[in-house]
Amino acid sequence: MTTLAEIAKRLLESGKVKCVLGYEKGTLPLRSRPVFIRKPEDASKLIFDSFCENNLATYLPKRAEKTAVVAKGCDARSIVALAKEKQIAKENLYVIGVVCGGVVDKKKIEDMLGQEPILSAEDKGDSITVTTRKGSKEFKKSEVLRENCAVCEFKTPVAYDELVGEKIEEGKFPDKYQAVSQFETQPSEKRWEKFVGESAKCIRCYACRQACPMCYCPRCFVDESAPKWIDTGQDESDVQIFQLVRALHLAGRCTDCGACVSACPMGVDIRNLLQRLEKSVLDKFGHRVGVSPDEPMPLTAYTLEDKLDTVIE
Amino acid sequence: MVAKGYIEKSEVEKILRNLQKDYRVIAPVKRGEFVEFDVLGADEKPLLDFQNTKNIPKSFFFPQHEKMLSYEGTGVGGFKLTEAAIDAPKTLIFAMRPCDAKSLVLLDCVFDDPQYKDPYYLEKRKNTVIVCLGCNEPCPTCFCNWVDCGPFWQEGCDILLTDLGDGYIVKEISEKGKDVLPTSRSASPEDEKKAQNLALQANAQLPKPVSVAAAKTALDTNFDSPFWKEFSETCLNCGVCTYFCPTCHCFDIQEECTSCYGKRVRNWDSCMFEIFSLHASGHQPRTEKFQRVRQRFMHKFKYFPDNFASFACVGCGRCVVNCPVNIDVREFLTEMASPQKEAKEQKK
Repeated sequence: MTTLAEIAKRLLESGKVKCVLGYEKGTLPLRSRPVFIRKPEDASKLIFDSFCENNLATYLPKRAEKTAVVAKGCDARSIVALAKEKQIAKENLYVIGVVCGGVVDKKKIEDMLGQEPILSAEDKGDSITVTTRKGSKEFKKSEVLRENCAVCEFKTPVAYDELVGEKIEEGKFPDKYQAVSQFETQPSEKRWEKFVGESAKCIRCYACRQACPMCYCPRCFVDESAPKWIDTGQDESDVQIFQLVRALHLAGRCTDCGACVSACPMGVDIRNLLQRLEKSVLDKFGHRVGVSPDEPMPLTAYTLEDKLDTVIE
Repeated sequence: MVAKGYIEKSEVEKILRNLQKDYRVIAPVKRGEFVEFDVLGADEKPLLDFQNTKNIPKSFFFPQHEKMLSYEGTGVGGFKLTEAAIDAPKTLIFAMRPCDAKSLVLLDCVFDDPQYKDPYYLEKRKNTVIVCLGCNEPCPTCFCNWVDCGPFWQEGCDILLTDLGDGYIVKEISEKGKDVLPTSRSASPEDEKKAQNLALQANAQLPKPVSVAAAKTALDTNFDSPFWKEFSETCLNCGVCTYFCPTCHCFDIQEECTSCYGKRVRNWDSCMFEIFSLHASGHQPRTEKFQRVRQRFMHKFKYFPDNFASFACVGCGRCVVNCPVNIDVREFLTEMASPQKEAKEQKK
């Protein structure tokens, strides 16, 4: 079984790519972080574990160098979507797919430990052992999975040039949108309350936007000053519009990779909006982002089959 | 080190309620999943068994969003301008950590300059008493001892508390701190010995210091080093590090207006954002990400010390903990301070 390090070494030595973009061990417990490997002797830094929370596709738009990228199932779908939006030159990209059992939700673990500082953490595959000053605790991985990973149906990437890891049986989650459906039956005051509450946590750091592979606009709408769509302060309506419009801009493009949720320092429930839009796109267009390489992106292509209740026939 | 007095932990809540009569009391409280500094509610209990807060007390002196003035049209060509009242009630911040207190002394360098005095910041500073709580157990990510700070550092504190278990030793540091907290008795020599031991233990828990002075020396001559491109490659250029940093102070003045009324506001800005250095002409001096990342680290560890003889960092570790891609300033300083660094660069 070839390892990531062996593949990276081979690709660099052969000159097939100038750099390999993957994950290395972080300096904090529960964190593995992005790394750009350019020398074959550094290839041994590459790892893959339950702490690989970033979507590396975010570094790909307009990338000029020949690059190999390590891609989980969700990240690989982002790459397909980026290719359809003409943001990546496929001839410059080599996708090393990895079979992924999910990423842990570090905020959930921190909460379960009563915010006791974590000294170290070990990924044991089915479980995670976390050590604080008060001792060690073992969590079943299924207890502490990131929300999006708990309902993931793409553990094996859909598209890759080479695959690392044994293909595993995909879980099927027919009730994936149950929470969304239940939420939508609530009266509008309750739904508004949730939205206002989540937006109130937002500090406009834009970690979500920067972590997202699909947010690649050279000038984001929040940064535009002519016209100025929204102000840049903490006025609640400005923050709410940022949250709302960013979600809308991702409709039919987001692959639910969870990178934004992991990046957000304030624990904003970004998926509350994104999942509702994902369900809406599935209902209206029968489309799942980045799965088929040929299907056009649903909100940029119009076909006569589109079931839009806003279109008068 | 002669301490003033001793407060039983059981007395703290009563003391704070009394203080609330004269001060807006800000203390660590549970807000959602995090511990934050916020105005203590009339019946709210502070959370004193905490590491450090998610938010930074800097916000009470230099808020993220502050109104400076407002204006409205009064007919053709006419307008009325109203300066905003500076929001600076008499305040007491309870249980601030020494790193955050020191950060205010560093911010004073910027906002309390002999030539330029920032009225919004200074009014709040003048009206606030800072009661610090020393750290018996620093976080695994703290490195205050690297940057002329420490778990019981006194710079910026009006009063310093040491947690002895059943109560606190109260040490008045400044004039402002005199007689603010009522104490039940004076501190005994045993109390003081205990406090000294706690300080030694706390310092022992911190990572072995790296010479930040050596790091600065490396920075003095490495502006054009290829190191920056490599170091900054994974940075997302979001604003997390700047927004959680107690010493970051860049701001953006904006007009928020319609055709007939508006307000001028000051918001936090971040050198990490691409538009931070964008000129109105369209010229962009920092087109590349590495230039922005270089700017941040140079400011903290070279330009600020060049101007004010202090590093613009207090070792609180919030940037380390919150960075979405785990860029680690401790790693950066360790590399910069390593003797091989200078030799390597000189060879190039």
